[in-house]
Amino acid sequence: MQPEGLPKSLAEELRRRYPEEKLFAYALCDLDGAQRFVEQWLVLAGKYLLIAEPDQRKDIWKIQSFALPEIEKFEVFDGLSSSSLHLIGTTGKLLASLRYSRRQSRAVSNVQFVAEQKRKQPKEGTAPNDLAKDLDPDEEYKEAVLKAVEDAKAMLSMPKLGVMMRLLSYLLPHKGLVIFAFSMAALMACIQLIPPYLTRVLVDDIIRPLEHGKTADPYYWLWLIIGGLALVYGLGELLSFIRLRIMSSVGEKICMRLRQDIYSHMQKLSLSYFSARPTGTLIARVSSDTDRLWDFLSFGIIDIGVSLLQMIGVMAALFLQDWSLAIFVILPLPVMIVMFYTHSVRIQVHFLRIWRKWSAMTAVLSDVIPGIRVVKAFAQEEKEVDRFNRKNRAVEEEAQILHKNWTRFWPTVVMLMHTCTLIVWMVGAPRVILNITSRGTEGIPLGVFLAFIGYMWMFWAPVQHLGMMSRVINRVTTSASRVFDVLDTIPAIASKPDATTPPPFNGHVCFENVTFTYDGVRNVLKGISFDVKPGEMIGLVGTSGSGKTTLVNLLCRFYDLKDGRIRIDGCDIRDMEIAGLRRQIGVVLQEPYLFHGSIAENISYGSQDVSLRNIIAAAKAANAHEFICGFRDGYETIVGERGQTLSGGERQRISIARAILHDPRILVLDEATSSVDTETEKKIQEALQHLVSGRTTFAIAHRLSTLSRASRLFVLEKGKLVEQGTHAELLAMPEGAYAKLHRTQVELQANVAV
Amino acid sequence: MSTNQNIPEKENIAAEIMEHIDLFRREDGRLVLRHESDGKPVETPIRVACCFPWAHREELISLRDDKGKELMLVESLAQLDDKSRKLITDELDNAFFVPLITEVKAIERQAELFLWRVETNAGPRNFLTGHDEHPRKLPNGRILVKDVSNDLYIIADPKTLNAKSCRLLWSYLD
Repeated sequence: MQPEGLPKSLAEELRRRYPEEKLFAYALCDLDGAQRFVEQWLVLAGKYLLIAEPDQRKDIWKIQSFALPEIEKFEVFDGLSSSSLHLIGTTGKLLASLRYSRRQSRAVSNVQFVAEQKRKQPKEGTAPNDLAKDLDPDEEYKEAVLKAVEDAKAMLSMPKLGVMMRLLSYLLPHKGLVIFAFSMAALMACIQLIPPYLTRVLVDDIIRPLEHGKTADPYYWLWLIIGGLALVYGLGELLSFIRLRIMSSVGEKICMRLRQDIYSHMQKLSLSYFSARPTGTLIARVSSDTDRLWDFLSFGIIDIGVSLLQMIGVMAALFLQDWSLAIFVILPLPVMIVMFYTHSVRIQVHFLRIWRKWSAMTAVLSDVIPGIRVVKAFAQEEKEVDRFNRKNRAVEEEAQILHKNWTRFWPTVVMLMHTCTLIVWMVGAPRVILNITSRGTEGIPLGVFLAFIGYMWMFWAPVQHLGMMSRVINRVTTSASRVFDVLDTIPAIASKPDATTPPPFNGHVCFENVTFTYDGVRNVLKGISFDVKPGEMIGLVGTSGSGKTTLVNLLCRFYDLKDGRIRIDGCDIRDMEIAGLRRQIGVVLQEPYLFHGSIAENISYGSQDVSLRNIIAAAKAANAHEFICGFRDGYETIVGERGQTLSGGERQRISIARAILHDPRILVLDEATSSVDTETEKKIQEALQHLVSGRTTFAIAHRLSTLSRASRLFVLEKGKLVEQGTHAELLAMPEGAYAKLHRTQVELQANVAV
Repeated sequence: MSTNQNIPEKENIAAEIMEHIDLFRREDGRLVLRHESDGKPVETPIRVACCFPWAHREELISLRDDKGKELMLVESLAQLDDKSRKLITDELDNAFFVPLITEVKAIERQAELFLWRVETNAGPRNFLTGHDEHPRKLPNGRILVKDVSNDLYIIADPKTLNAKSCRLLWSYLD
């Protein structure tokens, strides 16, 4: 429904009406003022911005045109799911208002951007360098509207095999063992065919002839047959023991492989992947989903193979005993297969739903448990229990529906089997009587019939087994596809194949016209350009939401740029190997994260082969040595989860020590001192002083006083770099954004002082 | 307008201002507020923002000037006179428009994405949703669907859709 480009008739119409004007860009505006989906084109052709809509008669276009100089400015208003673009004339009059859904917004903003650039052009007389030279309007449009779809698709590498086949492929490394286990199981299936045959021999060749006194030495034969039965059973147990032993260990190995694969792949995924998903579901995929596969891999796969084999074997035995009776047994089989199939399709959806509800339940856990302090502080324990119970009940309800489905289905299958059994008796038993009354000339011998009944039950067993398996398979495919989902996600940020490990940085950082958006709609950074010399300390200043953290996130390449370039020592960071880049950038965050482990381990996190002496030196430089020595366990004090409780300032100093030891060439301080008291701040400031010297530093701070040592300050406002200079230079502009910020803070402090 | 006795005095004053609110649509289609500034009448182009666009569309509406500064917070549309209410409602409908799905014709799996073919109150529409982007339940029983371009769609009440739509939706809803 999204047109692939400008309609041909419109393009022709435009060529006819504006032969002189070159088509620069166009976009579809797909909503009208009355909230209907319509077709309306916004076209930039030469000096004109045109709005075209089809007339009732489709081949006629109504075109409104505005000369670019007539337009004073564009106003964009983003609604919930649609946006509107206002063209404001020079007198402040609204010239036109266009509405469009989100999917058009990129194309519309392209048109707006090009129009703005073109409007500037005649005034300045030179070609604007913000604009790419050869614009192909069709390409631009196509890229803009398909971007979101491409992005969504690019998230996944397409699996070539079905889920089942992929799961089976994990058996390949163990194929020797698997084949051995399978042959054990197959052998067992064959051996199990013997007992009914022995029954037949017992009845027809020993007991029945005995009635006529025709058997010599019956006890000898009897014990022989019982001995044979014992041997068969014993052998069966042995084979099944070997098979279970092998396969349970193979299954466990495969699950470990899967967990390892999924976790190591997760580590490669970008921050945006984690921010878009609840931690709980990710944990579930690594832990419970992989575990659910064990049963199937260990027993299920071979069970299925053997059941099929058994069915074929028993079917052959049935036909050998008596083919006319065998037909009655085989008859319902096609019906059952259809039933199994439709049933498994139906419950597949249920398993999906259960899985979703299950992960919603675990999401509550991973949401609430880390926030348990807030829960307790607001005495919301009961409410949280309620919230969990609701999700828990939803899981139960869904499971009950599944079980209802299952319990309704299964007796139907069993009933079908019993019906067949009855038919076999109805047809078979009279023929046994006939055989006896006719003294063996007609009908079937009793032994054959008994053996047949035995085989028939043996036939139902694998059928039942396969029916049960359909449930297991469904459960397994759900879990397996969740696991593969993660494995198929391509890291949004990956080193290019030809990326090289960067040499040690000098620390020359250069942003070139950097524009960035998280959601593809709102630009968080708009055309940021600057140049930072090695060793400079840059203070990033601005209100929250002005894009400071985004800026440093981009520097660390947690997200990839769409427009513009970031260069370190003249080299684009996208051409660098990511780990090599990040190893040279040190980050101290507002909320330092300490892992479970000793303080020494936390300080040396990210550094390799460090001596204890160096750890202490780093801690000393970070002003942390004193308090660490105060702990009974010294540097071996366990911190992090379930460890020693540290104050915010202490944690911060450990994370500074971590950064010092890491010895980065570029340093990012993201509000490193904002959550501590003034006394601690002083200590941290001292610690930072050691850290900053000689490194290119980006420091974000709300308290302007903390940036007093910065060589330059960058003031960000709504994603734009509005001012830069030293503290004094910026204060010299009394109407500047920095001066205003500074005044407010001084006033605030004065108030506190009063 | 009926005044509630329980409303504190201060809010009564706000309500009084609201009675004299002078909104109108300029001939070019812009919504403007006429008010006095330094004794001179001025016209300010108005934008509306809704504090609770999902749950309380009719309440707590912020009127802001073209620079984004709040001029007034309307407690409830019911407090306004008919003309102003109509103007603000139109504006809200525009800004907070989300198509309402009235019929689901098909949900097809396309590679790992889902292609939805639906009929909405704004006309027919096709859209793609991501493979793990499931419809979300809103507090008041409505269902929110988000497509790959971040366009939103609402299903007011899945039970009121026709049988086929329900059947198609069923496996995606919780």
